[in-house]
Amino acid sequence: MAGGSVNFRNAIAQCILNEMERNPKVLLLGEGVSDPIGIFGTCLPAHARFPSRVIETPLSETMLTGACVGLALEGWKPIFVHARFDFALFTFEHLINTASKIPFIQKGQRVPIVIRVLVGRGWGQGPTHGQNFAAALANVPGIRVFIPTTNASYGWALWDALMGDGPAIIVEHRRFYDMERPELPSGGLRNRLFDVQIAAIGDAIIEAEEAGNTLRNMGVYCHVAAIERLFEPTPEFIKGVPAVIVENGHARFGVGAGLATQMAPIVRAPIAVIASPFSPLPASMPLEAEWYVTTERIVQAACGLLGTVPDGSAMAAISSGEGRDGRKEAF
Amino acid sequence: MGLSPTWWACLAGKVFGPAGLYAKMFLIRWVEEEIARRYPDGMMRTPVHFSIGQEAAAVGVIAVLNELDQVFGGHRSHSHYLAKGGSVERLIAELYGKATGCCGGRGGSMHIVDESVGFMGAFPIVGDAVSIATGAALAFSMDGSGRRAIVFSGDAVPETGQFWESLNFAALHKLPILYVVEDNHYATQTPLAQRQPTTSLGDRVSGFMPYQGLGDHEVADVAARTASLLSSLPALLHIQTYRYRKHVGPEYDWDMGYRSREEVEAHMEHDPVARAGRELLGRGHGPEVERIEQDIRRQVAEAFEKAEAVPWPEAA
Repeated sequence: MAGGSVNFRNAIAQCILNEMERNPKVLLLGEGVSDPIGIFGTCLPAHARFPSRVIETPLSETMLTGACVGLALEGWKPIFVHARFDFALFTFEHLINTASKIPFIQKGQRVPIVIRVLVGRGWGQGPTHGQNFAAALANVPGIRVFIPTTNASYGWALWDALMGDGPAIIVEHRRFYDMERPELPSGGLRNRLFDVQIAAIGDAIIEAEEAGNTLRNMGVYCHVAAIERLFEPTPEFIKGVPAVIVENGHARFGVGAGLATQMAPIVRAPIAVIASPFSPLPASMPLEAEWYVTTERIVQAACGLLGTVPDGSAMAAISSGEGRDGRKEAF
Repeated sequence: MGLSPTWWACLAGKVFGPAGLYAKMFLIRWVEEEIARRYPDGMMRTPVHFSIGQEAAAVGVIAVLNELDQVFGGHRSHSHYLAKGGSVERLIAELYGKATGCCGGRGGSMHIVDESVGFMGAFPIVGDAVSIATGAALAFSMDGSGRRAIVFSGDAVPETGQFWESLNFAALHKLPILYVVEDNHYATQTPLAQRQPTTSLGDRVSGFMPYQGLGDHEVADVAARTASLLSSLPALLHIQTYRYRKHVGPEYDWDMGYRSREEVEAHMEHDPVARAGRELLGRGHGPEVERIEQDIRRQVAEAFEKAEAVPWPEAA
């Protein structure tokens, strides 16, 4: 893959192509995989290169998820893609009742199926085109939920998902598609003393990164990390440092809430969860903007944990949101 | 073990003919009668959906398959597992929740599987097996392996979306799959007339694929019609059959009120297993029938003894 100029959409397309080149048993299925758009372009290179392994499907998602299980039992590795997570509710029957149970019931039987789901955002997606059910699936043993936020972590997620014993979900934020998502600088940073840490789930990483910069401008040492794998311990958290967990999802029984409970005895410092209201996503632009978490809320929460007041000029410098919420793009 | 190589071959599905068909049906009947007898002991702590009465459907279809063909079942699948040659010992041990069970005790009666003989698993949520088998058939089609998928469903499956989604997909891709609907007239206690229109299933299905409807009184007839349908896959076989016991559990249930004792007994008078046995006796195969039954009784008794003796699984 080329360097820094590859956007998330093209990175996904390239990762899929790589996996299909690497393994002749990898299949790509879904409604729209072979049409001229090819799921926002992510399936076009695979379809051009391996037309016989890119299978256009009817809108029969329950059956097709079961068919993926059958294909997996026969040695294939299907990737089944849904243009919206909202459309993938029909997959839950097989994800929960067959795919996640077979490796448990039959020792040694593998069911490596990958469900790609896109989370819509912007252009008034509204109540049924911008939902994210990661928390529900992360609650089922045997299902691995990946929420990659960088080009590189997408590649690792897809590779890992295809190598697994059971079903995997890859949550793709449509909002990332036209962004370049290089790795966050990290490494040696962990050895420094941090005042506060921000752990973001999914596309809230964008506001988290911005909040991190704002806090640094205020002289607060802030560590920012994305939580991308919901099925294993999260080493991203730093012990002893107050934490803000942030997600565009409901706080009630959500991913952030679950992480806060899980991490409390490890972090041993105050934890705040910043999330969306417990209401469906409205379509209208100002209402929609209220629903998603903002950089300001994250900064305020971090300062709240530290018992300080946000610096006014640093807060004023936070960009208006134009260009980062995708308003200009038809999703 | 007591069975001669010939009878083992019969049980594994390699030898057909009246004696082989009878041996398999008797095996299934005897295993389940024995489960029913011992069930009140409380050692088999798993909901069992008995196939008693439905043996001819399973045995007739599976007898004409080859060893590459793969069979998928649902919550009432002891018959399919045994007809395909699944291990009796591993079945009984699974019902006892023991480490030597076919799933190490993690699945129970509704999750039996023996891939070594091509019984790819029971998927007890109604409709799920149909989709999984359709995916397997897609795999066979892409592999060019010549294998075929056979999936057994109850009469409620044509009420599910997955059934019609599967028929649509199998017809579209011309998949090597046989859908078998074992129609025992009831979904738990709810009769067919309260669940489906009176139009025939054949009429509804025929827009997608060839359809064959038949009864199960004569196991050889089930086998013959299955064999002819296998040449025009995808296809659907609709077998009228009948379950004698409760929906789940070993008892008779005519006191529940949803069906009469007379109705159940009328079906038992045409019992396909007894009929096949009588035919063999009528042709002078009495000694053979006796040997088959003795061997199976001994084999089954041993399976129960072993299941009771072997250890529990270790906690993960």
